[in-house]
Amino acid sequence: MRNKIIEMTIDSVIDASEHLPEFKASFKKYIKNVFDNNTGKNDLKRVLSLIEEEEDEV
Amino acid sequence: MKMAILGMEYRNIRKISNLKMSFVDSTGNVINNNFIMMANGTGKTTTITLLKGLLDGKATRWEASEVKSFAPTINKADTGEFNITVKFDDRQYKYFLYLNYKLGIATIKTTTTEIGGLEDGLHLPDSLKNIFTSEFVSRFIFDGEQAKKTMDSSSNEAEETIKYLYRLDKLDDIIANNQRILTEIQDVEGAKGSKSSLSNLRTRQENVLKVIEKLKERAKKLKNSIKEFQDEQDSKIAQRDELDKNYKELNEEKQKIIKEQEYNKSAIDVQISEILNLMKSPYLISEKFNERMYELASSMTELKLPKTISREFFVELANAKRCVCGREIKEKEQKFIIINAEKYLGSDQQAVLNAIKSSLKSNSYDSRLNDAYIQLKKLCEEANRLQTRLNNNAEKLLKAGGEEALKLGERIKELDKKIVVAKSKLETIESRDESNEELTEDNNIHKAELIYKDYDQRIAKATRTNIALYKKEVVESLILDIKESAAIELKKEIIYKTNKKLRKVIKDDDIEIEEIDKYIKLRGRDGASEGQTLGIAYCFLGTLFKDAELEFPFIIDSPTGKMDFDKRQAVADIIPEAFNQMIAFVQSAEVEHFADRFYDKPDTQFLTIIASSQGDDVEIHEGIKFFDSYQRDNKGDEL
Repeated sequence: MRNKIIEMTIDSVIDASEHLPEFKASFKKYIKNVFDNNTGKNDLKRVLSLIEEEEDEV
Repeated sequence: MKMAILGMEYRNIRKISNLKMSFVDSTGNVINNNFIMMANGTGKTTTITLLKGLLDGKATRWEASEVKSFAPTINKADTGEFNITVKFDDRQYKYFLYLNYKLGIATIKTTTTEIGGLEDGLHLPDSLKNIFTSEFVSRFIFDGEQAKKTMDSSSNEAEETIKYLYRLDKLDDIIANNQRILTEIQDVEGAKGSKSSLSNLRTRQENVLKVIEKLKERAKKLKNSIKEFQDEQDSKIAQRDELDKNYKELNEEKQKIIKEQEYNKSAIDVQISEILNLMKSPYLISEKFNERMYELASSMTELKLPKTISREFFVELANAKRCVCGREIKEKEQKFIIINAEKYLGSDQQAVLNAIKSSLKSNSYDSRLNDAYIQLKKLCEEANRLQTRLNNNAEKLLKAGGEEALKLGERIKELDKKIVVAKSKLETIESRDESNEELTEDNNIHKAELIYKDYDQRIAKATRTNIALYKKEVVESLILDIKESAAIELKKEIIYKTNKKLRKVIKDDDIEIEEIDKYIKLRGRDGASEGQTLGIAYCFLGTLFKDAELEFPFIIDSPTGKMDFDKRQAVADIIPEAFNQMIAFVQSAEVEHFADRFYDKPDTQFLTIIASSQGDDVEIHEGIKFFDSYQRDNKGDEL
């Protein structure tokens, strides 16, 4: 990513969220890849699969 | 993504039968700084119009008369052509604008190194699709008008520029992709259950979405209308002011009244705030009121002790061997104390009442509030007098200015009404006030969005895809947070860096950006001079382009305009730093303290385009020598 402010914002917002570390790492990478035009068709689906499922939703 | 212009070619356009400009050196490398001096009438404005029309694709929608206006004056050719060769990173694109003067039609075609042949329309690299709107193209094919827009309160130019240059719109793409994934899952799950109920919910949700899009479109149109009305109003006011100048005395009186009105208005504001402050002391409202409050306090019953706390005191006293006065307490006295204690006990609120009573009695009336009212009344009367004077003055000016001033005045009033109506309609569409019952999902975006979200939940329930919906919402909420935080952080940085540049460019005035909220707001002032506005725009764009995700060339028509020499020099230092390539169309008067600052810089070329000595055509001269001598000989010739 060329812009460091956007990159840092992506990191700080996602790091501050209460989700699994695997999801956080993949989601950060995915967003940065979107900015670099470097994403595949199923990348977001893979990221979504890493989100923990809420107990009352199961 | 890095964009550079490698060359431009003209064929049969106005005074040009054939002209080719190259912006690459002999080894094929892009030349960073390009100065093109075009003598009057050789096509400077034409070039900017053609470039914009080609890159935003609007040329294909030009009126026949506009297309025909490019017809050559030196021959009778039926067609003309303008093309540019552009490099996006390592890929080369060539865009052609064909002008059919007979039919009045313009067409655009593209060829790339990959495709080879010509394709209809303007084809851009995938990552730039949808962003080359006329507004965006105007940010790098730049003129003084665009500079004014960044500080125009009716435009959201500055905000939009940030969004596109930093590609924050990419975050919207993630939200759209996220929604698509959920829809796919729900389609698969929905197929297992009752198809009709899912399809029914979807149809209803899509209908709400259509309403949202319609409302957004309507809001956009209203904003454009407001801007058009305000632009027209500004221009009409300027015309009227120009007319008024002819009547010096009346105009001077007008300015004097306006100043007095401003002074009177601020005095009224101060007085109102003083009155509001004094009204916190009710005994100041009137002398009579204060007297009644005193009477109220006096007529309150005598002080009693709070019941729950003090009952214990009497019980203890009754049980004591001796009274506080020293007498012995026997059974008879004991009973007497308990029975009579009630006389001295009040409710618990008694203490509060006592406090009120004391407060009521301790304050006394004075005339401060009354005096303040009298003063406000005087100021309001003065406001009315000033307004009457201004109206009389306007009438006199109208009469003096004749029919034209009268028409201008009427149109200004008419535009005022139109602006108020459009703003009220826009407020209905964009309000987020959930308690306003007049707002419905049919006339308000926020309410429609709430209904849309409700359908999300209902569809998820029907398709048992609550988990997928939850995941979609997790991603969406994080992306929206990132978008909002990034915009805030970017603006802070842009303001800081722009102000730093501004201090170098504008040394003779204290100009600073305070905030970017849709447009650039200056600290403690409403506007700036033409030269200063241009300086602010360059500093702002220079900051934006330098750190942006996309690197663009900067094509400028008359870059220094009405700038003084000091500012020119500073701007000449900023532009090459900020842009990947500069192509400046200059007039000879702009060489001094601007183009000449580049004479010693490598990676710079100077082209001079003048009317041919052989006839009506134009010819191109390369190099500093011709450029410099031409500007010396022709300085001041431009209009």
